[in-house]
Amino acid sequence: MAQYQAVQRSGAEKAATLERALRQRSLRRRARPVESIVRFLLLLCGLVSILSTVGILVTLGENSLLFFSQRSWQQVKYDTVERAVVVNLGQEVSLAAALDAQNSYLSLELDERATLPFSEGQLIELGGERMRVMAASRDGLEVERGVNASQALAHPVDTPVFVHNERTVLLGADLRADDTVIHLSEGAAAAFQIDDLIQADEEVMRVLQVEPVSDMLAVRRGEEGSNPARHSAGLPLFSPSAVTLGEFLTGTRWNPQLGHLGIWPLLNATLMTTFFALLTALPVGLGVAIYLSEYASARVRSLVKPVLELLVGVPTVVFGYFALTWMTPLLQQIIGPQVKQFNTLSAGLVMGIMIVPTIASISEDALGAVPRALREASYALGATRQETIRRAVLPAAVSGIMAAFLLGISRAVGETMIVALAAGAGPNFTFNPLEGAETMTGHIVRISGGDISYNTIDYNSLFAIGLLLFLLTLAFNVVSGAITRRYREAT
Amino acid sequence: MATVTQQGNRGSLTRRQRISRLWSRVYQACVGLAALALVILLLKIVDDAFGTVAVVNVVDPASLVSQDGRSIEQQNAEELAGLARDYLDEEGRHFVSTDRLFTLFLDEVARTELPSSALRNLTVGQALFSGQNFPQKWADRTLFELRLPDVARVERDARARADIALLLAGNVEQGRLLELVYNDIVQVELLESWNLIDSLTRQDEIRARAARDFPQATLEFRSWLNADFLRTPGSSQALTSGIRVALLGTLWMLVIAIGVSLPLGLGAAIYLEEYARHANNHRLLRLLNGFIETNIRNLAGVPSIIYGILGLTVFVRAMEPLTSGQLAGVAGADGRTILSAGLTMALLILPIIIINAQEAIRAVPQSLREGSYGLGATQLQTIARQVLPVALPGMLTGVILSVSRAIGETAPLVVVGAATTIFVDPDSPFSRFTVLPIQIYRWTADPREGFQDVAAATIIVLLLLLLSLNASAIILRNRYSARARRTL
Amino acid sequence: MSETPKQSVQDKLEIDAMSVWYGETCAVRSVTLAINPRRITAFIGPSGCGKSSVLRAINRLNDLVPGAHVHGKINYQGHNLYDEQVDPVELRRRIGMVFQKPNPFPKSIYDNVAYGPRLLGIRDRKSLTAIVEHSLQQAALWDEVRNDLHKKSGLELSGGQQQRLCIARALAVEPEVILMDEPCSALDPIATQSIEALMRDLVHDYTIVIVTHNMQQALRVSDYTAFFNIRKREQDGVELRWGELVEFGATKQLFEEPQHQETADYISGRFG
Ligand SMILES: Nc1ncnc2c1ncn2[C@@H]1O[C@H](COP(=O)(O)OP(=O)(O)OP(=O)(O)O)[C@@H](O)[C@H]1O
Ligand SMILES: [Mg+2]
Repeated sequence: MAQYQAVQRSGAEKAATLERALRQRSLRRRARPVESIVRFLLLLCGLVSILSTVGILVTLGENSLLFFSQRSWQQVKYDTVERAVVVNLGQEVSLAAALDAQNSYLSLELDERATLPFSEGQLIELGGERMRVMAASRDGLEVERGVNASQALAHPVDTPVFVHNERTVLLGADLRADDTVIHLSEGAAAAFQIDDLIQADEEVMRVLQVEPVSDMLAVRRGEEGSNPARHSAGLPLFSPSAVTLGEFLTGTRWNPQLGHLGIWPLLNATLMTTFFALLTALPVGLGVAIYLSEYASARVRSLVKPVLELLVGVPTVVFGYFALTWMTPLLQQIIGPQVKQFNTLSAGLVMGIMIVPTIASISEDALGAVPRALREASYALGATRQETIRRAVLPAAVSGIMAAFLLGISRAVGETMIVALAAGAGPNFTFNPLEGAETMTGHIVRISGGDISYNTIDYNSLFAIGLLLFLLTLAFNVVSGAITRRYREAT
Repeated sequence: MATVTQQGNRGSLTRRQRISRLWSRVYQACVGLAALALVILLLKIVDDAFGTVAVVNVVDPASLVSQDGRSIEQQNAEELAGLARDYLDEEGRHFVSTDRLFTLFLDEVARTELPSSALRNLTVGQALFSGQNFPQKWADRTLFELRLPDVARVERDARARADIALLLAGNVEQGRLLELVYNDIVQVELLESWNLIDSLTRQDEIRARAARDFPQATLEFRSWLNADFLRTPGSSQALTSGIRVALLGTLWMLVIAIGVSLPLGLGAAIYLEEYARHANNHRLLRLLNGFIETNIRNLAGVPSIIYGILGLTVFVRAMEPLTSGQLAGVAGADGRTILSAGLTMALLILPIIIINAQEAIRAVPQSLREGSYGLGATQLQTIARQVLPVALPGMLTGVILSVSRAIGETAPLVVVGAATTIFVDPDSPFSRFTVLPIQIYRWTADPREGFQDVAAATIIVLLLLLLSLNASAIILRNRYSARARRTL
Repeated sequence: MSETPKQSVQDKLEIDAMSVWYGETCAVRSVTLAINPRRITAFIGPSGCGKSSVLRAINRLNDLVPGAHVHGKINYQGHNLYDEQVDPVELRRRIGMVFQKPNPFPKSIYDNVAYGPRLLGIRDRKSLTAIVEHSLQQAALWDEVRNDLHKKSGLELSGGQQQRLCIARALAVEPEVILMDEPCSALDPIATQSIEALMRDLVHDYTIVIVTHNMQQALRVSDYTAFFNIRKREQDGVELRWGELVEFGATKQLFEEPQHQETADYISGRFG
C-alpha cells in the first residue's frame, strides 16, 4: 500500500514536470539554427580536404605550365677544337713528359706568369684521344682518360694539347634590315638547323637554309611579330629554349641550368630503386603474409604483428640512415669497392624492408578473404598444404596481392628520405645499380632544401617533377584501391 | 598393378610432403628476415650511439688550473670569466669570440621571457643583469651596441677586457661559463670515433692505433646520448652537438599541426559519417559528399614530399605575410617558419586523422543512435551525447598515430624549411626551425667524423618518443576494445 | 495503475497507402490500416515481410537509413507525419520505440532513463529523480535496481532487465504511442511474461504497437492484429519480393475467423 502511494506520488510529480517541459511543444517543425550551423561548419571541415587537393593540383599544374611554357633565349654556342694557348704569353701547351695509356696524370711545363687555359670538367684532346680534366694545376692535369668513346693511348713528349671550347655565335658581318642572308663566324653554321628561330636584338628570324661551307644562313626576317632591323657585326645570336613535353619525357640528361631537361635520369633512378625495393619486399612480404594467414598460431601472430607494426612506425629517415651506414658498407664488403658510397641498390633494398609490412598486411587481408571452403576442397582432394596454398589460395587471392604490389610501387616511387640519403646526389643516367643516381624525390629534396630562388628554371622544374610523381602515385593508388574494393565486394 | 600405383603415390607423396615442409620453412624465413632487419637496424643504431672516441684539446685543461691547483670544473664564475677574458680574441678565429659572448648575454636575457625582437633594443641597464654587475658606463647602451663597437675593441683595450670579465662573472652562471671554456678555449676536437662493438671487442687494436696515429689524444668511452645532448643546441662540432632546438621545433610544429588538423579532421569525419549519408540529402550534396570521401582516400596516398611542395608554394610563398609574421608585426623573417611547417604537416596528417576518426565513429553501434533518436533527440544531441563519447578512445588512438606520423615525417619539412643549422630556441610560430628528423637527415649526410654517431643518438630519442606514443595508442586501443567487448 | 486514463492519448494513427522503399527495392507496398488509441495492435507475418519497416516508418526512424524513403501518408493528430511541416524530433518523442535487441546506452541506469527528460531540458535533480523512479516503476524494474541506479551501467543488467530498462527509458519522455519491435524475442518465458503483463498495464495510458513472431503472444496481449505476407514476382529474370498487408482486424476475430486463406495458413503454422 505504501509502495502504491509512492508510485502515485512520483507519478504525479513526473506528470507535472513533463507537462511543464512539454507545454508548448507541437508537432510543427521547429527551426534549429544551432543544428544547421554546426552541420554547415562540419561540411566546411570536409571541404578543407578538397582545398588540399585543389591546392596540390593548382600548385603543381600552374608551375609546371610555367616550366613547360617558359621560353628563354640563350646565346647560341658552338664547339671548337683549338690548340691550347696560354693567353697572356701566347705560349702553346704541349706534354712535358710522355704519357702512357694508363696514367691519369698529365704533366705540363708552364711559365710562372701563365694563366691556365684549362679548367675542371673541360674536354681536351691530344693525339686523337679525348680526356676530361678532373683537376688542373700549373704542373699538370688530373684527367679521366678515353672519354667520349675515344681510346686511351700512349702519347710522346711534346704532343700538343687541344682544348674544346664553346664559342658564342656572332654575326660575321653587318646585317641590313632587308638582307635575308646572315654571315656567321667560321664554323658556326653547324650550330643551326632549318626552321630554328634566331633572335638578334629584338628581332626574331627563322632559318630557311643552312650553308655550312660558307657559314651562311638564309633567313626569313621579322618573325613572331618582330620588326626587321639593322644589326651590326659581332652581335651575339640567341636561340630559344622552351621545354617541350616531348623533351621532358624523352630526354636523358637533366641539368636545368644548361638547358638539359630530360626527366629520364631521375625517373630511371626512381624506377631502379623501386625495382629493387619490390624485388625484396614482394617475396618477403608475401611470405610473411602466407605464414601469418596459413601457418601461424594465434600466439605467433601476436608476436609477429608487433614486429611489423614497429617496422611501419620507423620513420623513413631512419631507414635512410640505415641504408647509408649499414647496407652500403655491407654491399661494399660483399660485392667489392665498385659499389659507390651512394648507390641505388642499397637504397632500393632498404626501401624494400620498409615496404614489407605494407605488402604483408594487404596480402594477408587478401589471403584471409579466401573462403575456407576452397581450402577444404583442396585438402579433400589430397593436396598438401603447400599445394593448397599454391593451387587454391594464391590464385583466389591474386587480385588482392596485385593491389598490395601496386600500393608497394606507389610507396616506393614516392619515398624520399631513403633515396635522398643513400641513392646519390646528382642526376645520373645509368643502369648500374652500384652507382649513385638521384631519384625524382631525392632531387626535389636536394634542390628545395637549399636556398632556392623562386621563379628560376630550377624552381619551376620541381613542379614538373612533382606533377609526374603525383600522377604516377595517384594512378597506382587508384588502381590498387579499385582492385581492393572489387574483391571486398566480391567476398 | 595396384601396388605399383600405391608405391608411386607414396613415393611422390613423401616428396610432396617434403616440398611442402620446405616451403613452410621458406615462409618462416621471410618472417625471420623481417624481424632480423628490425633487430639489425636497432643494433646498428645502438652500435653507433655509444663507443670509444679519440679526442684532443687545443689548450690542455691542465694549463688552466688556478693558482691553488683547482681544475676548471672547480673554479667559480669569477675565475672562469677571467679565463674567458684572457682568451678573448677579436675575430674569434682561435678562442672566445665577441659574437659568442654576445649570444651568451642574450641567452641570459632571454630567460626573462622577453620576445627576441625586443632584445636588441633593450639597454644593458634594463636587461636584468642580476645585481647590476656591469660597468655603469654601459647602462644605457643597447645590447646590440654592446656587441659592435665596445666589445670589438676589447682586444686592444685592457680596461674593456676587465669590464667584460666583470660582466660575465656577474651575470652568467658558472655552468655556462664552464661550457664556454670547454668549447672555445679547451676546444675538444674529435679525431676518431669507434662503434660500440669495436670498442668492446677490439680494445687493444684501438689503443694501439690511437697511440700510433694520435699520440697526444686521449681515448675515452662516450655515450653520444647524454643529458647535455638533450640540453644543447646544434653545433658545428659533433662532440658538442645537441638536439635541444630540434626537440623544441618538433614540439612547436606538432602543436600547430595538431591544433589545426584535429578540429578539422574530427569535424570532417563526423560530417562524413553522421551527416553525409543522410537519406534526404540533395542529390548534388550527395555527389559532393562522395567526392570528399574519395578525395580523402586519395590524399592519404599522396607522397609526403608533394605536401612539401604544396607548403612551399602556398604557405611559404603565397601566404608569406602571414607565415613570416609580418602581419603580426614580426619583421625580418621569410615564410620558412614553424608556422608554415606546422600548417604543411597539418595538411599531411589531415586525411589520416579523418580516416581513423571515421573508422572509430563507424564502430559505434547503430542501435545506440536509434535508441537516442527514438527518444526524441536531435541529431546534434545524439552525436554529442552518444556517438562521440563512445568513439572518443578510437579517435584518440587515430590522433596519436597521426602524431607519430608527423613526428617522423622529414621530406616535406626539408622542402618547406631550413637550409641552415639553427642555434637559437624557437620562441614563436614565426621562428625558423629544425625538427628531429631533419637533424637526423643532415647529420647522417654530414661526412665529418662523429656526426653519424650524433645522428644515431638522435634516432634513439626519436624512436623512444615514437615508441612511447605508439605504446599509449596500443594500450588505449586494447583497453577500449576490451571494454567494448565487455559492454556491447 | 492510474485510475484516470490520460486524456491526450485519444487519436487514431491512420496509415494510408504507405509503401517503404530501400533504394530501388520496395520492402512493403501500400499498407492501409488504423491503429486505435489505448489499444495494443500486433503486427505478425513471416520474416522479411516488412513489419519492422512499417513500424520504423511510423516514427520516421527510416529517415536515418541511407536511401530509404516512404510514400503515402500517416495521419496523426491532424498531421501527415511525412509532411514537410512535421518535426521528426518531436514526433519521435511522442511515438517512442523499443527495439528487438535491447540497446541501453553505455551509461548508468539513472542516466539511461534520465536521458530523454534531459533532452527536454529538465535539469532539476529532484524532478529528474522522480521521473526516473516512476518510469522504472512503470516498467516494473524499480525494485530490482533501486539500489544500483548510479552504480550499475545499463549494460550490466540481464537481457530481460535491459529490455525493461529500454521501456522505462521510452516511458520517461511521456510518449503517446509506444512501438515495440519483437521486444521479447531475446528473452526467456518468465521475462516475456513480465513484459506482457507490463504491456497490459501500460495500455491504459498508451497506444501500443507490437511486432511479434509469437502467435500466442499476439493472441494473449493484443486487441487488434495486422497480418503481413510476402509477395513475389519474376521480372526480367530477377525475383522481386515485397510485403503486403493481408488482413487487419480485431485479434479474436482474425484468429478465429480469418478472412483469407493465407492468414489461416499462417496462424495455424501451415505457412510456406
Ligand atoms: N536498412 C535496410 N536496407 C535495405 N533493405 C532493408 C533494410 N532494412 C530492411 N530491408 C529489407 O526490407 C525488407 C523488410 O525488412 P523488415 O526488417 O521490415 O522485415 P521484418 O518483417 O521485420 O522481418 P523480421 O521478422 O525478420 O524482423 C527485407 O527484405 C529487408 O531485406
Ligand atoms: Mg523485424
